[in-house]
Order: sequence, then structure tokens, then C-alpha cells
Amino acid sequence: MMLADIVSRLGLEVLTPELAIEGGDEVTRGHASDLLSDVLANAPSGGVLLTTQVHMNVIAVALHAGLAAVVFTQGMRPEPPVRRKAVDEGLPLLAANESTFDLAGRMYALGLRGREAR
Amino acid sequence: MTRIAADLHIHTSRSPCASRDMTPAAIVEEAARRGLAMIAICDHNTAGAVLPAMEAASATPGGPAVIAGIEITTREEAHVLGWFPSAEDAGAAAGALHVDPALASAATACTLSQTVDLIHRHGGLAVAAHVDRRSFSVPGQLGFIPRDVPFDALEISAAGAERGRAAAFASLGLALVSSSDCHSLELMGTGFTLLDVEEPAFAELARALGRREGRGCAIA
Repeated sequence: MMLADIVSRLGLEVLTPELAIEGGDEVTRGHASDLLSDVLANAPSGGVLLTTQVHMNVIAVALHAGLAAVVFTQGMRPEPPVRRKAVDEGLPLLAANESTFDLAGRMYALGLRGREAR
Repeated sequence: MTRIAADLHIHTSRSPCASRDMTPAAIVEEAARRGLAMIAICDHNTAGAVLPAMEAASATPGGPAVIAGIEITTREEAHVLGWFPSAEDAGAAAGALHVDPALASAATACTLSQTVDLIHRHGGLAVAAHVDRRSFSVPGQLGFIPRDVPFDALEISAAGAERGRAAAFASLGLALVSSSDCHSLELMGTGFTLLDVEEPAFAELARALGRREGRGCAIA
């Protein structure tokens, strides 16, 4: 599914309207974690990250992991410098007030899956 | 200049995870027995045992210099050590954390940057705790050590120092220390830092971490 379709189907808030979310590659995978060391080790490239972790490091970690977007769940919102960094780096940031569990479930229902078992 | 051994991360029985025999008196006696010239009391989010440990040390022949410390859990659940000039400074910093005593080691509301800033505003030294461990460390929680957070040192766990993990953190240019992070008496001093200082005191510790005026620090 395309990122723009995920955003509209799930009613996600777009925190980086400066960045186009149309186009790009299809998003087929996701990862849910608040531990950025775990994101580095386990998040699938091209996927979306669901997290409550709003520290600045989430941007560099998401870029390193090659993620398509970061979704802040449970009403968490990063500080303005984090948002600006994401815009500079071209990383879409999204947000939802739902719990990580519920949002992951709705993404699963749209056909997204976690990383392949190793 | 003399070279002293310092174990700067010791929990007392005020930490919920520590053994009940970690009383201030037992800790300073054990430190003296093991030849540690300096220790730091670092309970989770509290400095309540610092003054009793200082009093016990001054009453113990050969007792160590006691540095006032706190192990603060940041909002990101990373552990940061604060070492302070005095028990009063540590107490004031701990008070600013607004911690529920029933949740002693839980995350505070302070972000990593706010925590380091709080420590510095109270005259303290900020140390990223056990950076080689996955649990409750800055790299574990945040993937890597952010360059814009002005740490005074990085702590390598005793087990990590033994396995040569310190080298992986040398590129940041920060002082490296090692401590036991002991929660029981028998593990005290299993990790330690060698300090080249004029005397075992906070001001000299600060110079040693800054590697100023001929002072220095090293992991054995």
C-alpha cells in the first residue's frame, strides 16, 4: 500500500506537510518499538515505524534504517527541532492518538506485516 | 599527584533493587577494606543516602571520600549519573526531579538533555551510565550517543571493561570511567576507575574527567 493511502485510510495526522507523501515505493512492512537500538537492529527497510519515542535521535535512526515514515502514537508529538530535522532530511512524520497496539492492528488489517522472522 | 582507585556507582538499600545489607556503614567499611579511596553513592533518583554515607565514612578509619551522586532515569528511560560537589547540591537536584518515592527507579519527566542540564546547573558532572549495556543505557534507548548532549564522561560497565568494550566508545573523545554499579557488598570495586589526582575530592574528580592540570583518569 502507498504511504498516502495509509495516511488517508487511518486518518493519520501529517506533521511534515512540507514533504510530499504521494509517490515513493509501496509500503509493505512496519515495526513497533520505542527502543532505538532495536529499531536499528530490526526495523525493515522501506517500512513505517510506530513509536512513542520522540527524542531527536529517532530521525537519524529512521534514516539509517531506511524507513519510509515515522508514526508517533498515543498522542506523542516531537519538539519543533525534531520536526525541522525531519523536513530537512525528507523523512515524513505522522501522528495518531491511538495506542501503538491499536494502530499496528489497523495497519496489519491493511496488509502490512512486521519484519520477516529470522 | 597520586593514583587512586574509585568506584563511582554504588547503590544503597534505598534503591529498590539493592540488597538490604547495603547500609551506608557497611558500604564505607567495605570500600576501606578494598582500598577504594573514593566512592560515589548513586541511588535511583534520590540522594537520600549520601549524607549518612559521608557521616559513616568520616567515622571509619581509612574510610573513602564519598561523592554525592544520583542515578537519574530520564524520560527516555536512559540512566544518567550525576556526581555533585556536595550532598546539598545532589539533594537539590534530586528534589527538582519530582519523583514519587514509591516509584523510585521509574522514568522521571526530564528528557536526556534536560537531565544533563539539571546536573550541570547544580554544579555536577553528568555521566552516561553503562553505555555498553543494552538495558537502560543511552545507546540502548536512543540508538547512539547524541553528540549535542554535553556529557562529562561515559561509564563502561565492569563486565564491559573486562571484555574490552571501552575501545568502542573512545572515538567520542569523552573521559571513560568504569564502576561496579553494585547492588550488593561482594561486587563493590569489581569495576573501578583509576584517577590521577592531588586528593580524593570532587574538584579533583572534575579535573581528572576534564584531563586538566595534569590530572587524568583511566580504566584498568
